Amino acid sequence: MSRRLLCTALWLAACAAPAAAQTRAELSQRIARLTTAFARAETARLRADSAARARVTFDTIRAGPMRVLAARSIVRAVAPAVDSAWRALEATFGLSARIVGQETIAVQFWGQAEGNIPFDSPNTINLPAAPPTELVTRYVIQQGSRIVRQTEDTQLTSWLSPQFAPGGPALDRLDVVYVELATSPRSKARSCFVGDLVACRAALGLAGREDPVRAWYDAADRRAIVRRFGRLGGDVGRCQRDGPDEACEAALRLIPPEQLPRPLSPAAQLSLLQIVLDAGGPGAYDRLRSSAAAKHSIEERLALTARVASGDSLLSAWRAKVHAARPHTVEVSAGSAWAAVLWGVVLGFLALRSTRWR
Amino acid sequence: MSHAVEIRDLHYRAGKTFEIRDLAVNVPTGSMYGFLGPNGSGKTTTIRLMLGLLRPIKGTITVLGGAVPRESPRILARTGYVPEQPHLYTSLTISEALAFHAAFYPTWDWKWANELLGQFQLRRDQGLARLSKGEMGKLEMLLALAQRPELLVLDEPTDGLDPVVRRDVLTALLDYVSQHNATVFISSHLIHELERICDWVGVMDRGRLVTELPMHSFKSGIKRLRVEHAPALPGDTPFVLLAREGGNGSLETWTVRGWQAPMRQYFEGVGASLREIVDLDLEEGFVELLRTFREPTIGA
Amino acid sequence: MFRQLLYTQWKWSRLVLLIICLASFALPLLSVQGVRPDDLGRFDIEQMLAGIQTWGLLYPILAAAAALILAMTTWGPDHRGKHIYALSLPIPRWHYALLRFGAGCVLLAAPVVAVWLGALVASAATRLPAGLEAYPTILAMRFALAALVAYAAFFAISAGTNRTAGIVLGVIGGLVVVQMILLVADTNINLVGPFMLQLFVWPGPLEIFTGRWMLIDV
Repeated sequence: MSRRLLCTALWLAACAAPAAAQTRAELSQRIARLTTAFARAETARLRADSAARARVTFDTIRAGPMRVLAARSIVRAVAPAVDSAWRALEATFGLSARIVGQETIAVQFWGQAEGNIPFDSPNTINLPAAPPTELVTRYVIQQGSRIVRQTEDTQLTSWLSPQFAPGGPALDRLDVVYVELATSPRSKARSCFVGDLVACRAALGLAGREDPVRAWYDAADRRAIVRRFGRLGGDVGRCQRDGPDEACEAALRLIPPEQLPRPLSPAAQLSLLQIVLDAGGPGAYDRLRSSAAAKHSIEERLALTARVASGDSLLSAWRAKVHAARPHTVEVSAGSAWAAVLWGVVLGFLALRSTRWR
Repeated sequence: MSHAVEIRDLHYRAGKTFEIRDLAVNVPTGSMYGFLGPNGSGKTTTIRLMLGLLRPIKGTITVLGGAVPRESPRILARTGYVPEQPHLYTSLTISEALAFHAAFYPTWDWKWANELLGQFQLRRDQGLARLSKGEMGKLEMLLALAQRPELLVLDEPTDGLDPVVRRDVLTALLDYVSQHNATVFISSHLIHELERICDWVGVMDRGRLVTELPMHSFKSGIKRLRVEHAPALPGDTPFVLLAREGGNGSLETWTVRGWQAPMRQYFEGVGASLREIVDLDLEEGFVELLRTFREPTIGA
Repeated sequence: MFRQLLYTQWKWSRLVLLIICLASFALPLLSVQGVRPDDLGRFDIEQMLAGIQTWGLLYPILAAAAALILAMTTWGPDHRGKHIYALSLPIPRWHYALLRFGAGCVLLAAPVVAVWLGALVASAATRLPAGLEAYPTILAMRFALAALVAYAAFFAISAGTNRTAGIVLGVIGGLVVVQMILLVADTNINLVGPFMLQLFVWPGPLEIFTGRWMLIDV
């Protein structure tokens, strides 16, 4: 019973007593009695919950160091998903994946025979009845990734997209990155596209302790963002009326840094990370984590993990791969062209085979 | 005698009610063959079958020595066709229509086409949509003649035309035929017109050929006879008795086909008297022929 | 022969062909009308591409419309005359139909060239930022192929007898009716979906209509 309800009940109880002949002492005694009764009722409830929990049967599924709790009736459905999830986590995070064993994950399905189990774990996954194994795997991976990555250093966490996880968005969508670089409204992204590595560094957020308002945008970008965000207060009006850049800067500083639009989407960072992990080979992620101790910048850490000489080499390699992945969506493939010609011939032939023209 | 057109055992059906059955037509080469029949008798259908525009269910069609429809393109190149309804592209001018038509016929004679243009008083720049019925009829005939065909198939070519236009068209046709000995197959229900120009006639009714014979035989062969004291049963007659009707007293009226003068003797032989021989013109003969074909009254 | 057939078809369709050619020439120009070459560094490339893509939806529609109109004008006069003239000409029937088809294809080149010219002019008039390219020839080629497929389909339907057209419409109508019955009966059977998928996915006949009809793209 909540405190609010208790107070209300007490107040009502007090009001229910005859108004006459109620001294302060009598009211205090009454409140004390009701409080005692409430405490006894709360204890009984907790005891009942524990008893209910004790009656429920659930098992622990283990895969590597990972422990997943599940009701006995659904263990057979969950176990293969846990196995797949562990393998994916290990493949991506290497030895660091063992961190997942530090916490327990729980899985339950709606409508399972045992009913809702009040697991104490903050990593409880609730899924619809009879979900496909792939869905269970994906959610277990998500939780496992969260457990592993919550121990990353803040420098890596703040740079790396929260989407980085096995089975998440593909890391190698270089064609998407190409389109983004070529069509981005941000000057840093477009400068990166034409070959300015300094701009690439800024666009990818690799420059370390940078002031995003000055590092990520030029004056025109700042004005465009303020116009898009609209009501910010301060110097917004001046900025929007083609006032000085200082007004736009001041307006942007009203926005929390984590809410400022980045020059490039997480896909660009993930593609750079993929290159780093591929170049670094087995254990690359472990090395990336452990490089925090040497207090390098994020760019230096990535270069060290990828075993390249410098950040410039890494960015050049990344840029080259992005350009090589340019999509050709507008072009008509030979297959499409021939198929169209063939259909033209076939349909024309059908016309000649009409009974009238035969 | 060779035939420009030979049709044997032709069978065709259109819809549920109309049928051409067991049709046999022979058009002698070099003749002008008049194809007679009332409206809806199957004349146009027969012509379309003959030219391969329609496909029969059964039967053989041979035109100018070629089998239809297998050799239709070769046959059509030597055949001039004037259909019942104008079939040209009305969005063209006369000049364009001539050029279009000429492109398909290797035997096209531009010189003669130009002469006919003058003869028919047609202007090159006239749009076909603006031509009168008579002008369109003349143009159709011009197109058919200018390609110098061996066979002309004309489906009611003068229908709806005024006498002046009709004369112009028929004159041009007869000129061509006389110079080139072409075969003409002309269908019409204007009997008097065919009477003047045709030397063969075929009569069609309800999808069947009623008769096919030289024109002079057709014209002279059908007579109405007034017979007195006619025998109840005529027996074997030297002529074809189409109908007999009772008149006043013992006088009967006989309609006969294939009459010739020496056949009087038949009546003497059966004890009857031939009182009068009435010549029927082609139209009356045609009507009688159809009437007796539809409702035979021999022995009534 | 072919020249005369081409002439007649041109004469029947010249007015509507002119309109289609004007529309074909104008479409690429309209699609880049929002591009401000003098404001090169500041305009929103994404918005520009989105606008071009929106205009691009009209290309397949225009190709199909051009094809439909040409097919109808090809056979219209013959239909009105019940094909008597065409069937009485001294060439094999299939040959005549083939010549008509070829003449229509030649006429179809006019809107294709119009699209190409319009795209060339639009590309030349637009200064593109780095990363973007103009594709006037590919656009015209895609337009030509789509128009060819549509023309062949409409030509085949127009050239057929009423019975053929009735069969085609009957099959389509039957498919729709059966699908509706299955829907009402609460079954999960989907007939129309897979059929449509086969049409629009390679090597289906309508695959050329899908894809990005973009004059300017990355």
